Amino acid sequence: MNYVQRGFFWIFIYLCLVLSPLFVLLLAPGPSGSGLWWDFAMAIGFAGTSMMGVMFVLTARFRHVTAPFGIDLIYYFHRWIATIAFLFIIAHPAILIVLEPGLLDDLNPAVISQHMLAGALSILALIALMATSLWRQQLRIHYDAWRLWHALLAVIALGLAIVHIEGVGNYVSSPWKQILWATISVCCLALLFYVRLVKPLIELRHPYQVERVIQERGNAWTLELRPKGHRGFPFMPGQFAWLTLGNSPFSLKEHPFSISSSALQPWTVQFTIKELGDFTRRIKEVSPGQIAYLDGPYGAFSIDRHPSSDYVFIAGGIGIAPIMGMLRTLADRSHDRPLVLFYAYNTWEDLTFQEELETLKTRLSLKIVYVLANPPHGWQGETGFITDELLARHLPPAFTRYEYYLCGPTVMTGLVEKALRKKGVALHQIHSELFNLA
Amino acid sequence: MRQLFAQILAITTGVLILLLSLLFAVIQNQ
Repeated sequence: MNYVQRGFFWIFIYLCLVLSPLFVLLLAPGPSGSGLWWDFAMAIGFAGTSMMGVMFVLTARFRHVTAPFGIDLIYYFHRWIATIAFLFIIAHPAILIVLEPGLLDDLNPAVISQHMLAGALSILALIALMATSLWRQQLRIHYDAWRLWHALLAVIALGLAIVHIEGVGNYVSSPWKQILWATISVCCLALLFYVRLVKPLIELRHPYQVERVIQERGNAWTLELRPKGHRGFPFMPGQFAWLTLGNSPFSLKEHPFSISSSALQPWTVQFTIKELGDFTRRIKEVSPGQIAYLDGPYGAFSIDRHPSSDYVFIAGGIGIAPIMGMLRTLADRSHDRPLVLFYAYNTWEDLTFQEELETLKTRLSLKIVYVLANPPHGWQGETGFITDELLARHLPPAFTRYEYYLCGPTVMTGLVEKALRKKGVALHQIHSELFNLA
Repeated sequence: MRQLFAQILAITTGVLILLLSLLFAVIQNQ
């Protein structure tokens, strides 16, 4: 199966996982119909709960599942589908109350039953989960603390929802249907067990050691890691991994970074990280010899995913990191076809990898177009942003034959994508990666 | 484009699940 077929296959599996519990409930013995909208409210309640359960699969980082899409896309899908599941779950009691206002009396704290309390608390946990996820930065919640609470609230919300379903007993009166929902809960817990215990245990047996911490231009640092007592993992140029610094892979303080080193040298893994947040600002304090753990490789942003001989790379700021990994790999492979790199940065002085890029020109047939927002006095090169006209000035004549790799701020990649499409580059030849997975 | 793709995929899936939930209710009330 190619990547597209595998993509459709996993979407089908997703729908089966979400919907099969619903249709199993239709099998006898079951209650008779209670009215179309009443049963619809029940159905979206069940579907929303299944979607919550499958969310654990989406975020478990199964490489076979994520490969056709790229894990960045899976995380964005997770954000959207979680919002939809939340709306389904909220709509469940809302429709029931509209149909039967007397149900509100059941929520009176003086008489509320255990399973109704579980349902109400599940919704409160979901509201907290959604609010802290959608407005984490506005609420000034630290990323590491948010990850811990995100996992906890998800388990609490799902657990309480299952208690509610089993307690109400509607559609799940027979023992085997109760077993079905209990199995769903156990599977979700097993996934959590796998992600938080089994995977870190595997990582614990495959530690890395920080070899060097190299200061780069533009407030960036390259962290060079070597596998300790194992051979590391093979990766495609441009992919990324989750990095945990410290003595324990069980820590929730892991962060995704693009691999900037050559895929032909997997015994050395480099990450080039710009100082942008709390964690990245501490990278310079890392000392050689420190233990680190990696979960990877992930990502579909790679020249090896779309084999061709002609590439154009477009980088903005620290978006150069995965592109550097691809250029270094191409140099190691003695790639002899013409390559073009558009590299937008603020100033010449801060341009990360400035010296090495010039050196790479001697190993590759590489044309580099620097685009500076604040050029130095006497700068003869391009300035401002990567625009339609700028691309037209520098793209090779047969530019529609090339594969395009874009990495940088979302606004920049969006505009460049539009410009390329306008020029006639096919959508399947434009590749980009979403930066912010948090 | 990838953001838009993820968004379209999620909304399409959501609508499909919604329609199938409605189908569930219809079957249940036949």
